[in-house]
Amino acid sequence: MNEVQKEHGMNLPPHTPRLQPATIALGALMLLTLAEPAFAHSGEGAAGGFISGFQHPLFGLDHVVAMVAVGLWGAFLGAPAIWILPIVFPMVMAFGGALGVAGVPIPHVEVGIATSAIVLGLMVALAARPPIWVAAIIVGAFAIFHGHAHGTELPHSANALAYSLGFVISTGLLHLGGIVIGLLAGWEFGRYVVRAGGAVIAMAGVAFLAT
Amino acid sequence: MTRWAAVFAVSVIAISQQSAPACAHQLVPGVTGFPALMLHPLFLPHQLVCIVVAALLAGRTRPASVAPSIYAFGLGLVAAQWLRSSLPWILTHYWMALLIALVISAVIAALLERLIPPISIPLVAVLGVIVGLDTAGEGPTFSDTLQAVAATFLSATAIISALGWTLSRPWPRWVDILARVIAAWAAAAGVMVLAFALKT
Repeated sequence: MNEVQKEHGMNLPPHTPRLQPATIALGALMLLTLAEPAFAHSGEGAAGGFISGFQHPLFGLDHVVAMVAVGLWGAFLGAPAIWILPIVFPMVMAFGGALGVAGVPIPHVEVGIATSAIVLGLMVALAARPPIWVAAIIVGAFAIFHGHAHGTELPHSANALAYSLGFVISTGLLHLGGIVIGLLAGWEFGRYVVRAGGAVIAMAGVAFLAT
Repeated sequence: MTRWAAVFAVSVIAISQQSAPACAHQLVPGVTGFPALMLHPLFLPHQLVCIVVAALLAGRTRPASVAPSIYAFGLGLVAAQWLRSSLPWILTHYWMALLIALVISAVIAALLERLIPPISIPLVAVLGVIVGLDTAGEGPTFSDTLQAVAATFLSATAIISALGWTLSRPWPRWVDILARVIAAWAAAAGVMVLAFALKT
């Protein structure tokens, strides 16, 4: 049983745990690669609002890699970061979203989002373990940029609450995907895979910044 | 407790057997009357999220207080009907009241490590009032209102008891963390829409 499992009270049978993170991560990857159905209508009523909001973070690769990086880093840091970050991130993101809705300008939002991928990816790649409050500030600061980008889209939705719920849940599931993949870090080979994933995310951030 | 459950069940059955009003709209094609009224809170995001947050509050409270929370929610539903008739102007501020109550309740459900009944039960009652203010019969009669309130109460009871009871079991810690994450999602969505409502 690794440290992450011990801290979260996972009482697994003695012969099963070593392959479990790999199995979970593989399952998560398979789910992520499932083809999405095509929707003829979007933005109509509560269901349309929810679907629009749910899709919004998924259609922006810069959002996707940054959110997965948050989950990866949380899993890498272990408790309490693994659960503090997914709770704090949506609330800080909502604050950024509120600024976007209110029309408060934040300069260089897209640069901030690309930078979030670089910084968070590097944190994972370098296996950085700063104090939890430092990690929370780093993640929180970038959450404002992501939230602002989502918030500016909100007024165009048919149902504002459904749209918001959709994109918050979608973002949370991306974190969860990152956490599940990050659990590979409890396995010696998986640790290198996770760090390599962080490096790929950082490089993707550089590409976003360049384009 | 068993006798009260029997009285409750008989009351619900009796109310559901009353003549169903004509529905102006059908949420699910072919489903009308009392079952349609029961589906109403499940298809309205603002009502559903309020009920789910109430269930999270009930389930995260120690000692377990699912039953008192259900009673508090029911009282809130009834109080809301009195408010609707006595203070109709309150409905003009409905959306703002909903968002403020939702954000406060969800933030407390997400951030507090340990919830206690004196905090959670009043919040559940307030959420009951919020849902109740948006619960109206399809017709103008007392019977119509009674059916709508009973149907909403039944749906809310199902969600609060199922989710609340599940959360109140001695699960590993991550189950409580998951409940807090869901509450954080509700709070975040509420903050966004509150900003939107304040702007417009």
